[in-house]
Amino acid sequence: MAVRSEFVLFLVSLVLSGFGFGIVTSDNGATLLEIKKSFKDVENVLYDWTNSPSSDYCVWRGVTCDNVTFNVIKLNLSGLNLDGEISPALGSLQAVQTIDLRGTHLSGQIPDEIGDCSSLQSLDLSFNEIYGDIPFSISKLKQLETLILKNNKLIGPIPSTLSQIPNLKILDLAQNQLSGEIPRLIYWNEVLQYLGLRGNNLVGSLSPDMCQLTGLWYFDVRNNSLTGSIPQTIGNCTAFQVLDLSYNRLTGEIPFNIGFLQVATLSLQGNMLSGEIPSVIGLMQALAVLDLSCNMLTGPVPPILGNLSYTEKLYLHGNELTGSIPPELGNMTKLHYLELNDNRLMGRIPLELGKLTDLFDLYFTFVLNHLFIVSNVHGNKLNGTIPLAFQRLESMTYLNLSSNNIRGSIPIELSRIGNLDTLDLSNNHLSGLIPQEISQLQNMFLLRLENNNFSGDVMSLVNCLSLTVLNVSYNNLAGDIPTGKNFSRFLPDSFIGNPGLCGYWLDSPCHESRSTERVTISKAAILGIALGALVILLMILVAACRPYNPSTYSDGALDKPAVTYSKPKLVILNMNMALHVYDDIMRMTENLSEKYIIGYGASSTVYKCVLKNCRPVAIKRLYSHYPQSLKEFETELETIGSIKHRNLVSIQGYSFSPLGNLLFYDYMENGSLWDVLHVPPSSPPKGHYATPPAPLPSAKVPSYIDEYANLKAQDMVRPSMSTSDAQLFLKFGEGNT
Amino acid sequence: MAVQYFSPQTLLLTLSILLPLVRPFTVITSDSDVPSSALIDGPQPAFSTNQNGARTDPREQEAVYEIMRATGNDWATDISDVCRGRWHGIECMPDKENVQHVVSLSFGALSDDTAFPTCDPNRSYVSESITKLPHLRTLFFFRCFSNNPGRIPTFLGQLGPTLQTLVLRDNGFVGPIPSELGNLTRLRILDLHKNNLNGSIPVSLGRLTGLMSLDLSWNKLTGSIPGLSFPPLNVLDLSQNLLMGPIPSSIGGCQSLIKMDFSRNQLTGSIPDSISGLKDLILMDISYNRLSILLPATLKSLNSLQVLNLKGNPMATTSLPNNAFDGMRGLMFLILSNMNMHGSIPESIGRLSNLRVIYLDGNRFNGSIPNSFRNLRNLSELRLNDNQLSGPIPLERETVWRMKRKLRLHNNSGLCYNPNSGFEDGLDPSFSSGIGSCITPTPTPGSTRTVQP
Repeated sequence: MAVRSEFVLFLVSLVLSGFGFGIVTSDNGATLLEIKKSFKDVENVLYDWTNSPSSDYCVWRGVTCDNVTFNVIKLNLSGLNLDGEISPALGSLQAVQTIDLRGTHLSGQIPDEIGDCSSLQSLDLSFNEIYGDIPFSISKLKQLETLILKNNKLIGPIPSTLSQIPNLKILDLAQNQLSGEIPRLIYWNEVLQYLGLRGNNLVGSLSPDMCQLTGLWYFDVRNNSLTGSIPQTIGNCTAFQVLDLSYNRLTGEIPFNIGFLQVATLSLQGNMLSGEIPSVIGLMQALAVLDLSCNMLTGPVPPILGNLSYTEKLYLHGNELTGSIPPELGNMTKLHYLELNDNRLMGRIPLELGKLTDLFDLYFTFVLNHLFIVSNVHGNKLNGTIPLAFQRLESMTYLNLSSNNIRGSIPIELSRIGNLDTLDLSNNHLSGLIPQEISQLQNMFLLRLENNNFSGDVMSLVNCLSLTVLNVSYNNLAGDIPTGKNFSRFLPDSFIGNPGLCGYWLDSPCHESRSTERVTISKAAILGIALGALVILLMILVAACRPYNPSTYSDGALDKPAVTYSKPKLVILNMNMALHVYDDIMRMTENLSEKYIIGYGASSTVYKCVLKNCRPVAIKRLYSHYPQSLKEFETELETIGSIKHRNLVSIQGYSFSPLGNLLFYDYMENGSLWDVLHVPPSSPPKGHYATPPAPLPSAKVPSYIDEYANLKAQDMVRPSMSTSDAQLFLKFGEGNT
Repeated sequence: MAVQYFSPQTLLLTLSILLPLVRPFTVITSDSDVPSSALIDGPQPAFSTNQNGARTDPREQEAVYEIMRATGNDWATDISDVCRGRWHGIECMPDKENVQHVVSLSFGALSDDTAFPTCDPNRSYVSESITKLPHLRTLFFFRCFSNNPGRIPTFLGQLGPTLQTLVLRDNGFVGPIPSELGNLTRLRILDLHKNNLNGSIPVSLGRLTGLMSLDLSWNKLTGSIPGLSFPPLNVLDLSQNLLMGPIPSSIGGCQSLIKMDFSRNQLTGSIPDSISGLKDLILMDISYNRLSILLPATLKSLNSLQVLNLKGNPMATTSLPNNAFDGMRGLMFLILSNMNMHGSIPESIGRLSNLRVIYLDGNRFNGSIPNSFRNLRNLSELRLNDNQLSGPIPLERETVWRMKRKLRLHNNSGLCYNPNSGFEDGLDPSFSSGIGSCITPTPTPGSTRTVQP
């Protein structure tokens, strides 16, 4: 308080002595006190700025004086909570060379009088709340080399008069509300090095003048509303190291001349650029960041990009790129981030990407979603599996392969990517069990497996203690959802769409039946209803087949679905099964002995039965240790019954037996894609189901083009570990069109 | 095929495939007497390995060593191949025989991020070896010779066939501009800013008809501005010299001019009528000269003009015609302070809706502020102080409050504000001294206020 009243007295005396604007005082101390007056300084950070006679302003906080003249040459109050406004008295510091008021909670306008600081070389008012126009008087500062006004609330145009500051090297006006066009004259400066205009409301197009004079190395106009195309003269900007034109409304093609630049950062994302990615970008070997994402670029990913061996970030996502992923990208050995998602790329994930492992440092982001969604004119799709080579990418923290047509199971080798914190495999056609080894991913906090065909239970996730986001909905999972450990944090939404999955919450599908004491009765009733529904369903199915099928077995189909629960019965759905009875099958497989096992799945074991004078049969035995196994069985049959396609592996029949509920299929000799891809050629292929190479008799049911239904159905009838063979499938599709 | 590095052969092959697709080969052919191979003016890989036959012309390499030594960069002689590895400040280009040629040399501590070779300020000089670089396009010296002042070497004129950019900025050069620079007929950029050059601007510079930027500012040049007619010229900066005489009417031939800065000289006469040819002119600054004759009527046709600064020219009793600035639709800055102008402020100024800064202070304007000023809603600075204005201030309350201290109306004869305009708290007391309400003073206290008609 004492200081303050003293201060007021001092000011009164100042006024009395004729101190005022326009009158230059050589008393820097008095000027500083006048400047202090316009700060609120609620924290009293300028406590030592006092008027006491013994106080030397040259030792005041933030003040630096010239050793000889004792003029203030530097004022650095950055980071202090000054609050208030910039005093016009600042203009009286005629010798000041540096003013740094960065982040000092100042508001108000920049005073005109700043133009009187004729020695000023560096002015930093960034990170404040300063509003209004950039004052005209700034252009009077002929010594100014650095002008940083970013992160304020400045409005109005960028004055062309800034071009009259001959030594301006750094001009950073980013994150304000400046409007109008970027003045052409700004570029006509031999020494301008740094032009930061990011985050304003600038309009107009990029001037062809932008590199008439050399020097500019940093050019950032990100997040404005610039239109027009990138000028051809960009090739003159050979000094550019950072070129950020992202998030504007630029159109046209990326000029070939951009290849003259040797920038470290090229950010063109979030515009409306069209045309192809110029191959010449592959010559820009200094690139550390190449971001062309979210444009309208077409054509292929140029393989020459593989030459960018210093590039750490490559973002091409959100374009309309076609073709396949060039394996040459595997040469980008410094790559940490690679995003190719949301394009129209097709083909397999090149195994060469596995080479990206050796020089990885900390992060690797691999997002390939929507990669395989394009169908060609024949209605085919290419697909792939998760390359085992990914296991070598041990630094990878983020793996997103969602929304592709990826098939097969999760390779247990993925569990070796110990740094993985995010694994998104959702919206694919993955099947099989969720591998137990996934619990080795102890850093994983997000796991998304929804909309696949995973089977088995979720017990393998019990030990994923770091998991905070889990989604396994819409799979074929079954069993109980554990209640312990971290599972209590997951909401029912994480699990819905798995008919066999039994939750702990109230309206879980099987919650009611388990909660009553009349479990068995209940179960029987449900089974009865279910089977009744199944019979009706099958009748409809057969009826639908009728126009296409000879009547010889339609009668049989009508007669044979007679089910009793007293002893095992075989329900025959197809002619091929008609000759065989349940007992024959049990005899031939020695009551489903292990030696006839050809595959395991999450929910089933698959056996092969070679019957006399007939095609071999595959038997899928659903695990019966789940209380709701009947429901699962029924669900699977329902699903199969609801899908009709010429390319389906047909179900031949089913049976309820003491050994479990059995499904009978045609046995396919071709093996699976998984075998082709993952088993060394020397090892004999395990025989089990695969997509048939020709239409089956059942293909006489009406066929639909719905590919999703097709794929879904294939997974339904396949043992869990199998996948279909891309090549086979492709050939098959072509053969039918 | 996965190639880790691009071999020059592969590069050439690629370029020969790529280039015709997008644009034809741009081959810069030297027209000098010395036969020299054409350079391949195409994008280069950043890290050419130079291992497959690519080499730097040995004479040029030696010349670069010499030039580096002359600037105190003796270390550079250890560079085995100056065109290899992209040394800062050295740019090269290959010719068809895969021989690298030096095309650009830059010196001086421009910034930390542009690590050009620095100069030893005490012993640096321009080495004549520069003339041994027959492909040199750019020569850039910034703050190199300040402590060792000398003349601009005349041998620079020998770089005529190729040199496009000559920047000798802030180097302390003394003496006159050598007329030999007029031989640099390919020159696009000539920047001699901030030296101590004296004498007049050589007439020979008139041969540099390809100039796009001519910056002779901040010297001590005398004499008159020679006739300049450079159609491509974009920037002409002659500010802060001692130039005299009139602005040549040939300036109208510089049709591409966007910046014309003649401020702080001793120019006399008038702005020539031919100025109307400068349709692209954005900035015209002739402040602080001795222009004395009426502004030309053609001035108003400069419809690209954003900045007009004529401050500090003591016009001989000039009044502004009402339509003086009519066509200047883009005008943002109108600086006419201290020009000894009288008469009334043209109403038409208020129709230039892009105006953000108007300085008419220090004149002898009388009458009232035009009502059209009410339409200047983007105004951020208005200086009408030190005139003889009177009558009500026709500004919106919001405009007044926004400008705050940047509205300066003090020292006029009788400016006032309408009592219900809400100005009272918006006007800064420092800059509105003597301005009161327009109400006729009534002796009866407590009477209702009436607005003066």
